[in-house]
Amino acid sequence: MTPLPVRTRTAGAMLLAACAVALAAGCGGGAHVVAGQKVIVLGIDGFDHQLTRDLLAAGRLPNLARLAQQGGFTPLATSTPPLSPVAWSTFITGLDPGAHGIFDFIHREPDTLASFLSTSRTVPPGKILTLGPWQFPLSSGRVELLRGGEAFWEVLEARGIETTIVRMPANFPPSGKATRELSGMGTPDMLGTYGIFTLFSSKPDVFERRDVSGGVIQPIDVIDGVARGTIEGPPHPYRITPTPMAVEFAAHVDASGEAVLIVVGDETRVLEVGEWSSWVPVGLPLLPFQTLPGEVRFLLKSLTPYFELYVSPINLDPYAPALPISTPGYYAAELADAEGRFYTQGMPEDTRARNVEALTADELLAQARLTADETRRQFRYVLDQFRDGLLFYYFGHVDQVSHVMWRSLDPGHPAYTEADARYRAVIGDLYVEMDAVVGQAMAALGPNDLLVVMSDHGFAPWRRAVNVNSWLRDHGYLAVTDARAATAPGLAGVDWTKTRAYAVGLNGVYLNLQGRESKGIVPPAEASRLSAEIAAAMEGTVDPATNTPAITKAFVTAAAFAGRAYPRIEPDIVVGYARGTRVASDSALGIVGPDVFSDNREPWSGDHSMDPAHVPGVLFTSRPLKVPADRLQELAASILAEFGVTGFPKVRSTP
Amino acid sequence: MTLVNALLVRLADALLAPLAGLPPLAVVAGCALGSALAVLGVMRFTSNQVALGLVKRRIHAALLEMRLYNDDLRALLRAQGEVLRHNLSYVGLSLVPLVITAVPLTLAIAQLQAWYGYTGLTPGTPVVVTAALERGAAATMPRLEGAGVEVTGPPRYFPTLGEMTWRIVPRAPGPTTLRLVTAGGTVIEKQLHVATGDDIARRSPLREQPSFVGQLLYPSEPPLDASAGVTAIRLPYPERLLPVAGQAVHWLYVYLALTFAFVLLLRKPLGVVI
Repeated sequence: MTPLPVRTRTAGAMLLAACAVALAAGCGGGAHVVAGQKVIVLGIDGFDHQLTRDLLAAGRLPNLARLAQQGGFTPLATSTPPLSPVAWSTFITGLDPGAHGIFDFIHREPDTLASFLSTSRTVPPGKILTLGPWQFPLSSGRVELLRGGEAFWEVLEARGIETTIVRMPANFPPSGKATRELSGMGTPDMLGTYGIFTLFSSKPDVFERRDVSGGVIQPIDVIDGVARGTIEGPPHPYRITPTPMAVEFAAHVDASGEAVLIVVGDETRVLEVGEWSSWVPVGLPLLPFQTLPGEVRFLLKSLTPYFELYVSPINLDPYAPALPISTPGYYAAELADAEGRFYTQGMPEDTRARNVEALTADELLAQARLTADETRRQFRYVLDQFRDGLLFYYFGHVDQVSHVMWRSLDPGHPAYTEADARYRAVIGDLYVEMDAVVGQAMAALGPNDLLVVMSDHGFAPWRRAVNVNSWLRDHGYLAVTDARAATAPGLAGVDWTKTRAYAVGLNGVYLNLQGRESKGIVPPAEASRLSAEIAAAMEGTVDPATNTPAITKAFVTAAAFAGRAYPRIEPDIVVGYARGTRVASDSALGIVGPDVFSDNREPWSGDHSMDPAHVPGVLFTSRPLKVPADRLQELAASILAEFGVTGFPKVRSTP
Repeated sequence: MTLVNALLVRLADALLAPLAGLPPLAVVAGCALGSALAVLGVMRFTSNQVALGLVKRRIHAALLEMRLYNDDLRALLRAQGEVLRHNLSYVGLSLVPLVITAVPLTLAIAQLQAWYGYTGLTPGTPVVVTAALERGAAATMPRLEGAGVEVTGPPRYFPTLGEMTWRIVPRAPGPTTLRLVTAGGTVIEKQLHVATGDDIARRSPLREQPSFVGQLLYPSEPPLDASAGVTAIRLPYPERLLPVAGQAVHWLYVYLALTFAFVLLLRKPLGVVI
């Protein structure tokens, strides 16, 4: 065989390459796939448009100001409802909630009204061998991602473009389609929840184990200089009777009464009062010589007059996670090796502990500092490793701290006190820190590269609370059999024979629909008219205390969402509250309270689960986008267009 | 034992220090090869090779019998008995070389552990030094100091454990000596090696009062003086793991697996029956 002349071989190779590019482009409907460039997307949860503008005007965000000048800065219209799992799913898929199936943090099972995490579920093993009090799975269980639609990075990977997706919300378990992935918001703790903390206290009013929202309060005593406690993990999978796997610890008090030495297995940590520990690996005993690995942090809150020790939710161990949290499986360990152990829990800032006063404001801020430092260190590592393709990196602490510190910016808040003034700079400082991160990303850009800084939604004060179930009761749509029983969670005292609508979660109102709800009374033919009637009545609701509208928009989902792929879990109405107003926490849990309106006196004083028009996010780009986006739902398509890929999403959900 | 350790430390340092710049996996593999050769050599010259060969053939014969007569319960049981009996003979014949190799291998593993078992403390990262005290020794409240080491905060004494802790922040990379100074002026030393990048160096997380097991496992430093009032000093060196096929593995597992593999690979070329 005679070798081809060099020129002919080169031409042949070029022809082959051109065919390959054409084929790849043809497969996706795109004209020309651009490889070899970098697109960095920084997703900052809850980065508010108005506050950003104020800080830009004050000259506190120099990198973002430069970015705005180079490319642009616009508000980014958020999802309906503007909740993080919904918004990020909308961004990921380019679809509306009706098509991707994520409507809230929690969904309800229409048959039983039992609630479950909206973004993932655990499928137990199919076959189980039972032996006395023991059960042994004969096949493995699995965790499923419930978000529907195609993630935009899958489109790039299919065309050979590497993607690194770090901490993307609503992506647990990880899609498995990116080159590197670490799951983000929605990743549970070892108990399978968004995070259950434990507070050990010797206060006299803590005399027995007590469950609180997001945590457990356990009694503990210091006996002969040692406080001994047990951290409870998930139920033992091999026991039929639910029995928590537990890890014991001992806290030895030092002679001066100012510090403790905590011993957990082979691990020891010395803590002064007010100090957070580094990560402590713990092993939940499964079988002799076999443990489920996790990790916790301790905070010694006080030693005198009472012993108080906070233990973080048990996080999955990044070195050996009991559930899948990364792609490839060792990526979480690689990140831990590079920058140390980290919070694997999707929402690490323990705002729920703050909300029940298990953490003070200063303690929560110290914890948020730990999470922010971890995230920033990892970002630096990921950025250093990133060569080309797409990098998405998520920051969640701005959102979480804003939730519990927003009151410091809002002297008109009903629970505002002089003590809040001390924290006035906190949120602004977080924005300034994020500006420094943006500066790092900008420094990594080449001349043809693109940086996108975006948020899923903005923020607003939460001053007034609406109990939607009480509103439905007062307007004749919900009936209770026993007013006292109705104050228990889970719509306990509701008379389902007379109830036509009820509320669960942050924005959803559901009809008591025949054929969907187990005790449904509303005929399907009536659903459209009834939804419209309730929505219209809601939009006329005025808060008597402020004499202003409490609800500025009520979306009938049948009309608002183009996609209708999840009729069993989709709410019939999404309530858009006025700026400053939000659903009452007890209403979200299915409580029918005595009053419709109340002041919000919780530390959780900022929110975004309102009318989406009031809480837009932000979009900064380092150069004008080829396909501009002014809605979160359009942004993924715009990013793909930078790589020459068009036609995303495949099924358009917008009219 | 102290004298033996002192000699072994010098020998190991002389052999391993020049290799500190090489990838740890390569050094561990080299050590495994050396160990395999040593094991085969000991087997060759201290065991009855003819008897070992015979007993192995008898085991194989009994296994073959079990396979051939698997429908004959009596034959099957008899063959199993033969396998057991010959296995015991095999263990008996291997005992002498096993004992002869166990001693140097244990000593070598302890030296390798000091070099490859730990990573250094990171400059600027606070750690806790712990001293286990004898009863009543806490009253003397020892002082801790060390060049290139900042002691932050007061010592903490935990009576229920009989332990005292100090927070230190290593500032300068490289070796240094921590000095515990008691009220009576007694000085107790503990070597500390702060990391320079991911350097390989001799590190010992524990120095304690004389004990056979302690000296066997932590040979790097001589035991503490029994009259000093301090029974042990601990440093929290992180464990070093070697990257093997995308997994982080303790060096000892790599070493044992490779030694075993080398023994199996080399036994026939070297004509050793094991």
